[in-house]
Amino acid sequence: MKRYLILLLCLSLLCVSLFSLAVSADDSVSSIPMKVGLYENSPKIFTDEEGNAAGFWPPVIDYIASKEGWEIEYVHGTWIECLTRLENGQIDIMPDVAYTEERAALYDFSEETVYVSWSRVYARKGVNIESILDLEGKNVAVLRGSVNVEGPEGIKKLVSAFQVNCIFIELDSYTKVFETVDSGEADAAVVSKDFGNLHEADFDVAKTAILFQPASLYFAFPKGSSSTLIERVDYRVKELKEDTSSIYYQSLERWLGVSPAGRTVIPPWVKWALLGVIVVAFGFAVMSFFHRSRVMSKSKELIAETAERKKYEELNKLKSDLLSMVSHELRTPLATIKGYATMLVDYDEKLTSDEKIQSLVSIDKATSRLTYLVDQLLDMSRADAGLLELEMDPANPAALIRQAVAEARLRAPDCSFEVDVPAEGLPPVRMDVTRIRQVLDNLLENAIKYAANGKAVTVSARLHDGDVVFSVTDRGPGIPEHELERIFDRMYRIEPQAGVSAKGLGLGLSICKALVEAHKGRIWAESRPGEGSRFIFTLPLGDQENSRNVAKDNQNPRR
Amino acid sequence: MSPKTTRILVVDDDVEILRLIRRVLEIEGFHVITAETGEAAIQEMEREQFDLLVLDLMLPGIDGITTCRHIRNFSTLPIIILTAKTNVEEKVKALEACADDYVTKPFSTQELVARVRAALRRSQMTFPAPSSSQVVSGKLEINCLDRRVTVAGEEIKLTPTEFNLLQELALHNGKVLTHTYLLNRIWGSEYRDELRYLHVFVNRLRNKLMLHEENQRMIENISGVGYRFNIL
Repeated sequence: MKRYLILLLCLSLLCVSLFSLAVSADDSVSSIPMKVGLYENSPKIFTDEEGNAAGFWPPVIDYIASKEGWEIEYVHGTWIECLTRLENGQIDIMPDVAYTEERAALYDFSEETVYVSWSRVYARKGVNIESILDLEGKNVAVLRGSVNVEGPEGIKKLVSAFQVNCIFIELDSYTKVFETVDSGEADAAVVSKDFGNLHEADFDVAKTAILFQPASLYFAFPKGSSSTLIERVDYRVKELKEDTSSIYYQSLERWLGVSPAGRTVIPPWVKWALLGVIVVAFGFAVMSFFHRSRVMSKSKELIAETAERKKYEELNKLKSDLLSMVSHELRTPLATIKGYATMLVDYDEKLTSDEKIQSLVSIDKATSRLTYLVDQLLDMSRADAGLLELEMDPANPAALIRQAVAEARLRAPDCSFEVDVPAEGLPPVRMDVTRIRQVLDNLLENAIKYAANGKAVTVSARLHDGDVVFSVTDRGPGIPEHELERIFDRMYRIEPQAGVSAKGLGLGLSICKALVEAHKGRIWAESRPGEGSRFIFTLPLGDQENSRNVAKDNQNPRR
Repeated sequence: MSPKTTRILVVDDDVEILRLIRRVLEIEGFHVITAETGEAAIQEMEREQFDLLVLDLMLPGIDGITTCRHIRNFSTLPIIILTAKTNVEEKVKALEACADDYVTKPFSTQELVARVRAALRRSQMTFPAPSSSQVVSGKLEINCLDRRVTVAGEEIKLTPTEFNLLQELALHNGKVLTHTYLLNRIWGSEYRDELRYLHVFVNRLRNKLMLHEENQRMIENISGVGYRFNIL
């Protein structure tokens, strides 16, 4: 048994050992060593303070390596050293290489462009270089072997084309190029625009307007490298470029300030400036809001003021119209009084006794008319002030109507009158008899005025729904519908009709309304043009004991 | 023209006023016809000849101003407006429309009679025949003898007061006639302060004669002084 256990343990150990070996063998298959050249050209590619590869290219290379199972080893050197190692096959991949035909003869290139850059001439501060021609006789520091120096569109070809003679100082890195200018050994420097943008503030250099050598940058491989390697690199670069959230775009944005859409990333100061602009704009918006609020408030005040002024002007016009109308209406009976009085004085001897008596009667009638108008004005004034006092006593509506009609017959002998009250009579109603007579007389006066050709005027009263309903009906021309609503308005007078002038103050019906409403009743008119008009008012039967108080309370002081 | 033959039409819808005026004017010797509406007044005017019209403004149906304008289409008789309206605008409006004078209610019978007589006097006024009985200015011709006025041969109807005013101005061609002189001469001494009458009548004359542009400067206003007639 013990031997079986030992054998089982040995088998287990063997299995574990075989499995470990298998795993180890698999690892060794997927981790292909790959030497990548690294030179100092920040921010595109450089060695950071901890000695690690940094810049735009390394994250892209690391991504491809992780996908392809490579184990990357960066081989540090100058640009020229890197190119030499590439040519000799000492490194497998060299990033950041611009394509030229000369180089294509020495190296293989990936097909996918990884980055596009160009070069710029910098001048030492104080050295005036505005164009290529200004490089004449100058010392120009350049990166040895760089395409922007030796390439077909490099600085050497450029100055040659302009027949400018300058001295080139070839150095191993862009840092040294700037240092040489900074120290005064060189007057100008040629660097990639990315290096320049990142480091110009660290040296005594200034940008010039000379931009040249746009260059597409690729991965380069030793001549005769495996096509599979190049295809895989192209495949991964393409894959990265198609995904705007990929490490490629993140690296572009982080190191070179290029957004995925190709837009320049907004530098922090721009963000601050924008924030400032937004704050200022917000401030203006707040100020504008307050200003607008003040304007709105002022506008409202002006509108209210205008409305107030308009109302005042309307009231003023109303007052002026009222005064004009009162003046006119008072002058008419006054004219009769003065006319007849002066006639009696001036023509005493030429007038007969009958004429003198008739003149005095005319004066008397005009005086009555004058009194009536003055009373109307006083009633209007009392109604306005809420001072219409009612003496409430029980009264017989039928008797009141008969009395009013009897007196109307005396005033208008040519007119016929009909009284229509229930045969069984009507219950007494508490009212101010004088005021309700005033209402009836006014309605009868209007009816007589419009009851043309002696047609009958009917005055009726009946019980309806707890009210006594009075009505005065004429068979005159009627009232147009559009005027029915306004006839109880103060100073409103119906358009003059054939044979009937619009005389009077236009206060009669408005006073009737005030009086009826003071009794808690209602008044309205019905009419059919051509068939006559009916004026109806109601007096309530209920709560007779309290009607006096109610009547006082019911007066509208602003009526 | 004796009072007995002078016919006056009185129009007012107030029967008391109508009766009063009729009686007073009859006592004064005038023949008086009355009407209560503008329509009735026009019918009377079309049917008979009158020497003067006393017209209320506030009438049922067509109002006094409209009645006045209508009558002016066929008659130049003097018209006295009688009304209880007192504001100046109404007064000027009536005078500009057609009226010769304006009496405000309430009035004394003597005042009314005086106004009636003054209006009749103006309408019957004939100035001494001038040596030159005809004044010609541009296309305007004034014949003083038969009291006719033509512009480019077309007769212009002027009321007696309008003609008297035009004739007075034209016969003093080139001279400034003061407001007071014209009011005294044309309306009478009792109107010497009624400057408004003069302005309104000059305007009425201009409106009637200004059918042609060349007449526009014919009656020249001398501000604050009077008027001057200029022969063109």
